[in-house]
Amino acid sequence: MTNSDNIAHLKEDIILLYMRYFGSMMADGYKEFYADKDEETILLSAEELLTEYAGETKGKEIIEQLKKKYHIN
Amino acid sequence: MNKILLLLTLYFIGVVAIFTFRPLGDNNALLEQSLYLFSPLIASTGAFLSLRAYGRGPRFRSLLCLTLGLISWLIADTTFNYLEFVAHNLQYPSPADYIYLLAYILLFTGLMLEVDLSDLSWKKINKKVYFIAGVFSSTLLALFSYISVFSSYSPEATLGENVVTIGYTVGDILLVIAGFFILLVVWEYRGGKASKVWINLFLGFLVTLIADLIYANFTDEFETHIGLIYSVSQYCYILGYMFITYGFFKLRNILRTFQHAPTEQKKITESK
Repeated sequence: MTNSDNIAHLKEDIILLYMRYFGSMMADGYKEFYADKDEETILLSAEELLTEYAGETKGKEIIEQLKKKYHIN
Repeated sequence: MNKILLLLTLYFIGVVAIFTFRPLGDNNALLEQSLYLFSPLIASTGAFLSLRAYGRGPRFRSLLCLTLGLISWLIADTTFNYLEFVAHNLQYPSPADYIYLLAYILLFTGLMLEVDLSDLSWKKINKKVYFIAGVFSSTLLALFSYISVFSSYSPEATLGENVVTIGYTVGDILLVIAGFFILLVVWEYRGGKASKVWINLFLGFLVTLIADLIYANFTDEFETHIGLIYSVSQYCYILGYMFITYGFFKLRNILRTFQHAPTEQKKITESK
């Protein structure tokens, strides 16, 4: 899997998470916003949002799972 | 204090004043019940607004069930009050009772679907949390069993009466079970905005259960519509709806704030 494939799948997973927690309107907004963003920016943005919504422990846990899945340090 | 909380507090003060000073004397019950009906109306409105703010997505089904459950309680409360105070023909069981029971099923389904979508890390939850939530739920279940389960069935009552009475007990037990899982979600999402929504919904259903317990054990007070026990049970029902209302308005605000987040983040990125 190339790096760009990896980022595309990571974006997809994060958008699905947003869809689940916040609904289609927010997921669509972020799909557009993340279009030209790099991996680090996307993960930082997701961590910030998820921590605010689900708390620090749960938010970080979700991000760690994503990092593990996509082998990101 | 935010606007919603201020309005709910003022409403509750108004309710207590009307129940205490009884400005319409013997006709006060109708005024009291009109005020009471406002609480399921705002609770179902709050749930509907959350559903609308959420839009499409996996939580649509759960939020729809919760909204329909609260709308059912509103219809049941309205039917009950119409039959008792306007038509003067309230029988047991009445159509209102069947709608109340339908609401329990919808609310339980909605809550369990929400718990399922909360993605609880069962193995990571602290054992103390399981213990506290378990002890709390078991105490409530024991209390219900002692007070209502064994007195639900009556050999002299008709089949319809027994089915509805037992149905209420089962409905309350379902809410206790859902309450146990809600407490786990509150713990899992601790520190986050979502946990505040869940704690309000939990308190709302808990206070409603207390009101149901009072209702089941002091039927005479509910026929006269006066006295401290009657007033306290009505306050509990109203307070329950208020917690639920606050929880749903909070959820709606969270969803709306987060939906505007990409625009805000875009502005910040562009300004850099």
